[in-house]
Amino acid sequence: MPQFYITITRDKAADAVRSQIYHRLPETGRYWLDLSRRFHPNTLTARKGRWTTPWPMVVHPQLAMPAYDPGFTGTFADISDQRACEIRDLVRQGRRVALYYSGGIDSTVCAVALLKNLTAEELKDVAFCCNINSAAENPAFFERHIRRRVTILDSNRTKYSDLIAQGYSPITADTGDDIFGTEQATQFYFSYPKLVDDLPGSSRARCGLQREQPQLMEQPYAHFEDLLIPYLSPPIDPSTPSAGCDRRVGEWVYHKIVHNIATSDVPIHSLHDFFWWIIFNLRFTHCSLRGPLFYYMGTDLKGAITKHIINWFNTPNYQRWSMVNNNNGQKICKPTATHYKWAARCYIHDFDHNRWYFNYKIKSVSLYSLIQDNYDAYGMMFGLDSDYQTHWLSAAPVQRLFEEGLQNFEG
Amino acid sequence: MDRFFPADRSCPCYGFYSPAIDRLVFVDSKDLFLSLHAAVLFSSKVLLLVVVFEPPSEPLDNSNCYLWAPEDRVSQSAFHIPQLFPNVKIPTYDFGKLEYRGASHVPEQNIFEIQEHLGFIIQATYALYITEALDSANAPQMYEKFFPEFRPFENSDRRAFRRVEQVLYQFESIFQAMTEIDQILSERLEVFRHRRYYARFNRLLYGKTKPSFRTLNPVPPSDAPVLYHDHP
Repeated sequence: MPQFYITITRDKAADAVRSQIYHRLPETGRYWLDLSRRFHPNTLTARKGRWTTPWPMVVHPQLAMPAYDPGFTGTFADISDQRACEIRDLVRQGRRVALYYSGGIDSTVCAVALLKNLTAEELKDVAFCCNINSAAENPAFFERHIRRRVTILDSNRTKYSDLIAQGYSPITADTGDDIFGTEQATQFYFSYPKLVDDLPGSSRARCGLQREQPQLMEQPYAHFEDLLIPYLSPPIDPSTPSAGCDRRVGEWVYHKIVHNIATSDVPIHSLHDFFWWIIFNLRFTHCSLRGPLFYYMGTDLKGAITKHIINWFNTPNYQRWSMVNNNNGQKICKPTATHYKWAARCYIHDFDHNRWYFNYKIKSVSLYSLIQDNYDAYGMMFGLDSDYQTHWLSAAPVQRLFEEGLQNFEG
Repeated sequence: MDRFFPADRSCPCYGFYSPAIDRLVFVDSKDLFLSLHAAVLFSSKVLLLVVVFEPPSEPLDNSNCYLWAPEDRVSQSAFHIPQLFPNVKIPTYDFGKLEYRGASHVPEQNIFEIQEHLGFIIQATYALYITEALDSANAPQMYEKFFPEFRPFENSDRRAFRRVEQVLYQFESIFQAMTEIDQILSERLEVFRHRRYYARFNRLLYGKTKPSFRTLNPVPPSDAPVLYHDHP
């Protein structure tokens, strides 16, 4: 049965399974395993273009990429307000919703949109599911707009399944990164000088000069192959950075991505596009399904994914906006972390006028703070099949499937 | 251990590093843990990590620290709570090297604004904690964590302390913070002990011996506290 979702974590138990079979695998099977040291967890699956995986995959019907529409003109603010109005309509129909609010930019966009577009009466049916990290990530917003104004539920103790049992539809902002392009991009620009330093002479001079160009992000990505390959290469030993990276894996995955780009019908030219495509195409499924897989403890996973959980940014319009707003400053205004998700920053700032958050907020990962108590349990997760059954590497048949896929993987 | 508490404090040894700006935004040499605490209070505005650094060969102070950054480059999203940086090399000896980076992408004016706000928080943190320590005779609040059934330890002194910290965590303008703190600490000046606390705090924060801020009587009452440093 094809999988909607596959993952290879860096967990110790999963490592034990991998180490048993690693030496028996062909080169491409090893590369796929090695990728989990660079993209942890390795969940790269494509929504568009050719992309082979060791196991048969199918795109989840709710996660398909809409057609590229170069004439799309909606603004981020308009789409966000429309999205809030859709939620408002659900509330008017008697549904209660609970926003998982982390204090980060994506969930703050959702919060702003709801606070802007719903009446005080309607907001009584909206809970904010958050914790001490959420409050500390944006204290001014918490104080002015959340504390004593909306119902607060403790996200450390309230999983998706708990909310659904209480009659709430959970709202997640988990695909915000996919709409704006990956933080891998800003970290690439951050690491650029070190990457250049590690290049041989002629490449070093050329790439060093490229950095000085004012339109660095808009340059063709192929010009940066010498940097992208080491950047995409997994560390040989994650605990010893000085051991270096496995360039063969980086080279393999770089060309795999380039081939995927060539076989899709979405224009990808620049460095900015390249990084955006990695997450918008190859990580969208992971970002959409990791929440239900890791934070839903009930028995009806299909119902949770298809009926109850509202994925805020997974709408055709957000995706269309994302596809036509590359290279114009809407996503990464300048190649620094403080300019990431620019349109979202502007949307929030128009509402709360908090210049500190606008100017200096940088990404912090919030999901792991939610799942850390059960993190060991997820380490053995392998996949979710198209019948909504989860598969775990602790089961012998799954281990066989795992090895067979890697043995036969063409790369 | 000595590496974290250098004997020579004549030059700055603690830096406040902003991952967002990728530069040091402030340097100091007083106290590691109060620096960390000041970073916590400032984290409502900008996340800062505290760096114990080796003095570079060139002079480094608050007029030029924003041209420097730690040599180590860790993913900018790796930290979201103030702590010591870089955690990956600590506790080995090989940490704390700075490198000159030149101007950052953030305009100097913005960095000056950060320095101004952070400088106020640092000074106020030292003033508050030193005053608290001087004023803590027989106060049992330090046992709070060992007896959680009595938490939070609450009385009017504790409330004032918590309110001042809340102001330092959430203020928008420095003047607003000064005014609010002054109001909190001057609410019960009819009691000698509170006048003493108030005078000490203001002395440490503003360098003034006598209570002198907005809400204060310019002519101290006859039982005004006499501090040792009032005497020549």
